[in-house]
Amino acid sequence: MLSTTRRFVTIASNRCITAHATAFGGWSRQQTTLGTQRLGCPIRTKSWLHTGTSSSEFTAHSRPTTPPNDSQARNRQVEDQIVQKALDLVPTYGWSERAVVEAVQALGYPPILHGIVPGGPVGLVEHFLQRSRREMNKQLAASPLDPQASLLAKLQHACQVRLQLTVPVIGQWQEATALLAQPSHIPIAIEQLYDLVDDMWYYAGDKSHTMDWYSKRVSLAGVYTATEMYMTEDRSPNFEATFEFLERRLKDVDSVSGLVGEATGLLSFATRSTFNVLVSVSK
Amino acid sequence: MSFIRSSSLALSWTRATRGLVRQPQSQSPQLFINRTLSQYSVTRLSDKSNAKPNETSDTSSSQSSYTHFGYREVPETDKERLVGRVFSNVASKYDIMNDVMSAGIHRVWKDQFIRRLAPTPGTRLLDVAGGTGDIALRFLNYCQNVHQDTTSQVHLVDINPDMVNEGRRRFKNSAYELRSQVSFEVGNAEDLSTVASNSMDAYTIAFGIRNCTHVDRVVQEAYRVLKPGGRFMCLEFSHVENPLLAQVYDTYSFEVIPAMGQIVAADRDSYQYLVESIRRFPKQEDFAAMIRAAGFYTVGKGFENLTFGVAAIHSGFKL
Repeated sequence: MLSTTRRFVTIASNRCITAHATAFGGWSRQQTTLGTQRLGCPIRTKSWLHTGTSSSEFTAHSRPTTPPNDSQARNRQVEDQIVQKALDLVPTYGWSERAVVEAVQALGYPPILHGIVPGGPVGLVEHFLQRSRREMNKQLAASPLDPQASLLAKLQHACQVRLQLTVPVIGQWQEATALLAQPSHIPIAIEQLYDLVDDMWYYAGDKSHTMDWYSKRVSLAGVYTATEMYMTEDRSPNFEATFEFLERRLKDVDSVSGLVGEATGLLSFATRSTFNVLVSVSK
Repeated sequence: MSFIRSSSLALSWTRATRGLVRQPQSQSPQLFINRTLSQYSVTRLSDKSNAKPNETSDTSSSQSSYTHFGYREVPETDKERLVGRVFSNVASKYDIMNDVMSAGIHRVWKDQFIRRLAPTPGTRLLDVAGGTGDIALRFLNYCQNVHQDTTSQVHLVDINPDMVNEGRRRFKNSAYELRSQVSFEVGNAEDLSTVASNSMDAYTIAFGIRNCTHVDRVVQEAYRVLKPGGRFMCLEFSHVENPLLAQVYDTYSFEVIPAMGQIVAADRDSYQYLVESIRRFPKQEDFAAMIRAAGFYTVGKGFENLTFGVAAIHSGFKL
């Protein structure tokens, strides 16, 4: 089963690299990275539309923009400090307006500035998810796993790195998931989760363009969220039980992925046409 | 029934003129309507003042001595007086007209506006163009209901004495007045000389900034009076992006609102000015850029659309 997946990935990635090399007229490493990040997945376009807002880990790859002037850069730094301070206070005050109020006061500003984290509690959760994902990417880029390691091992490693980042707020994490599960916040939850699993697959070396592009992300999202929920109840030292749980879930997914692959193969034509129609309509 | 009739009339009138007036191909239908309506309203109003319809608009404080008053171009020195007359005319009917014209939605917008501000205990708010006290009252209610806070204060400034009197009447003998949580002043948003620099936690201006002669000076003045860490918030009519909805909205604005002004407040011209001035106000992005230019920091786009952009909340932080 595993070998099937790997073969799939290899073929797909070869095809992908060729396509991008043609598109960008060269073979430099940066260009292929850019191509995969930007064009590898249709929905990705959405996330780089947002790079102009608060932050994105892909700033280095994004289109050249005019350099921000000094005061803007300074203001952004202040915002960053406030958010960081507020996140540090989450274990004390929970995901709340109070945490942000205490943070801005600690930095010498009047409490009304708490509005700089829009959306209140869920805004704070969103900031946390963005930051954790960026931090995960940084760590994964800094110390990549042996390229010969199996895909499963790479995914497991990525999940572990990300789960470690939730440890400081694990006591408040059920509260955060409850916030994200509110109907009006579901778009935030989906966007963040999608970005996360997409990055995990990217760092695991997946560059596929095939139909299982969707099923891979959906199944990894399932595994990740289940593990995170398990983690909130885990009392074992250093969350050992959580990481064992993660390993078992990943193996489960791998053993059914062959079935999923066949099913999606049948569906691929219909889904892809529908998707293309939707894209053309939305343009 | 009258709404349906007038909107269909407007549409058929538009259709009739479309064939007669030659327009560039690239022009959008919405622009077209605005253009024709502006010509229509200018000719209708021109007997009252020295209208100069073809002069370009100018919301900034450049050397130009003309500014817009609705779709009319008037000398800058006259705008304040003309706006003053509009609001003196409508002061006593202002609140009921808001309800009638927006079908009560302006209350939802104002509630949302205060929820976005989310004042904390002890906040000092400067409510400019506060008029009849809608924002001030919601602010104090929020403080009391959410934080059980009776120390927050609001200072209400409006250029129009008639509007300030409406506000005073509203707060008369209220608990807020007895605790001196609210104070009133007649003053100009472009020159808040009685308010000290770096003294306010928050600055709000709701449905007022569009009537000011120099919008950029108003924002600069807001920047001056706010403390570092203070928040500027503006609630204002804005622009509907969806072309289909924009047509419906334009028809409603130009055909229904002045007529309702005639019926309810016996003052058609003031409400004609109101809808025209909304069209002349900068678009969401442009106004957000103006706020940034004054030195404020904006998060994300810097604004939030309400009801498809009929109104928008702009927000900036002085850091």
